[in-house]
Amino acid sequence: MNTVMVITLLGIVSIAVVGMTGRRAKSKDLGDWTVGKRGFSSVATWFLQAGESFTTFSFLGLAGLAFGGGVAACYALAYLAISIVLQYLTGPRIWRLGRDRGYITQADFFADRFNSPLLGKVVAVVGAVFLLPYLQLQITGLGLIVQLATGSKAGGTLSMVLATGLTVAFVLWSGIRGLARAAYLKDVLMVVALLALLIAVPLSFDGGVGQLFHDVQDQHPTLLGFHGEYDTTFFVTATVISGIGGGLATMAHLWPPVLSARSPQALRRNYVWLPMYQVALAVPVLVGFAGILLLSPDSGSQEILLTLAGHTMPDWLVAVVAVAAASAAMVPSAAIVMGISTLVSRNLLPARTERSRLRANHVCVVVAAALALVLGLTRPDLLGNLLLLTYGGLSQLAPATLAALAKKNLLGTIPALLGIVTGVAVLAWLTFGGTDIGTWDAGLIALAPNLVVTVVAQLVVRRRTAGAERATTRKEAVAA
Amino acid sequence: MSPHTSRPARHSLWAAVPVLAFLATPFLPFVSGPHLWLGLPSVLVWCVLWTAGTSAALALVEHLAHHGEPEESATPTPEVPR
Repeated sequence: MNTVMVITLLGIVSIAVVGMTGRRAKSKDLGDWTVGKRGFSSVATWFLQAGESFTTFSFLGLAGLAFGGGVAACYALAYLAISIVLQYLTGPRIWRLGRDRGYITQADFFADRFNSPLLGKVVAVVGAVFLLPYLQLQITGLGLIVQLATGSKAGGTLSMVLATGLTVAFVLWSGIRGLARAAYLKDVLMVVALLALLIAVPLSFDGGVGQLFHDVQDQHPTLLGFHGEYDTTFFVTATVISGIGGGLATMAHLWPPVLSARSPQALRRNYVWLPMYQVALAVPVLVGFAGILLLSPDSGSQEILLTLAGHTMPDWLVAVVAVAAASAAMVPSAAIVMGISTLVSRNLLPARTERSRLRANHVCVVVAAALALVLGLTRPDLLGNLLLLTYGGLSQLAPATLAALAKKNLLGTIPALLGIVTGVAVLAWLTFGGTDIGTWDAGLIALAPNLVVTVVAQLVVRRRTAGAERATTRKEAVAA
Repeated sequence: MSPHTSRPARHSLWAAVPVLAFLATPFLPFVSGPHLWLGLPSVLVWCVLWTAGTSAALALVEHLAHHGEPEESATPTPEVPR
């Protein structure tokens, strides 16, 4: 076992130990475990929300996107900032509704605002099913990170099993408080790793950053603009759909960090400054550009950042980057597994007492994590197709979410349900039906029929309701 | 619900400025193309600047909207229909 492997495994264990220290007292109900009595300070909420910006995508995907698509990778900066703007406008409203009506899940919001437990259950099923491949993505991403850093496939597999087991342990033990505590460590590690990359990678290049980009300008000028499959359409549509999806909290695991805040002021303060933190995502983009000149064009896109780290840093620092990247998998995994388990135990399974509901929730945590791990190890492609639907599919909840945030819900249950089903069906058809949509984002295209069906159905429902009310009035007048 | 959230206030429009700037990125010839600003790709610099600009815009909205607003706090909550 080499130095990098030893430090990485110790790092993974340390993240879990820190997560376990978050526990105060044994949670007696699901609400305390999930949203921690809604008493989180700005600082704790900051780390929970910042944690959502940095996932395995930041370490593996973003540098790879810059490696293949050049500046198109900047869409990540754009969509995250846009989603923060939307969260600034909607987050405090979600928090107040959550406090006043007792929400602890996204499905609670739908069930309550549409006065429809059925819609709540549908949203819970859709949310849990679409989040499972996202959980698997984090776990397999972690395995790849360790494999790339250590050069050992067996080490990657071992770390997947270890990290999943430890994540489940600290989530069960400490709930959202453990998640917040682990997020503190994660962010410290992230800053250290990104600073190390920012210094080491350009230093390895003769002439530094300036020369790097002059060479890119000379040899690969198209990568400094929008081109090919990463053209203007890709940039705009991917930015819009991802911004909407994140900004309107269409993914269930984004809800507890909002609901657990102490006040809407705490949330707004964080939203103001979170974009400054996201500036750090420029570092993986820069590393991806360095990869264009330093690595073979045949290099796997997901290998760029850690391969360059291995070429430019001493072993112990590569291990620090690997631990940071592993934390960027473990903390989001913890949030996602909490999102899935609360949807299932709170909104889908019956429970007689709060204690039995909490027990059911804990079983769901174990089952969801085990399922994602086993499928990640044995059938890594099985959920791959579903993952194609995750972002665009969950974004189909956006119109109904927005309508339900209004003072008086603007939509009926049936129009909302029809819109969601239409959007997801069109998305599935576009994704798997072989339809050529160029570089458009399928999720954004699917939003159009979703909106049309929602609006038409709402108009029909309103007309019928008005007709029924007129008939009742006439009957009453005749009777009088 | 506090009055400022009951209807979109005019000052909230400042939050739209960075959104428009991001979405305009590929359509601005001085940004999109093989240009370097301070030795870095112009698109990257533009996006980093507007990411910071998002903080500035939200700080402005916050300053205009919530001056003197009392702190709200969480209270015990009722159950919702499931």
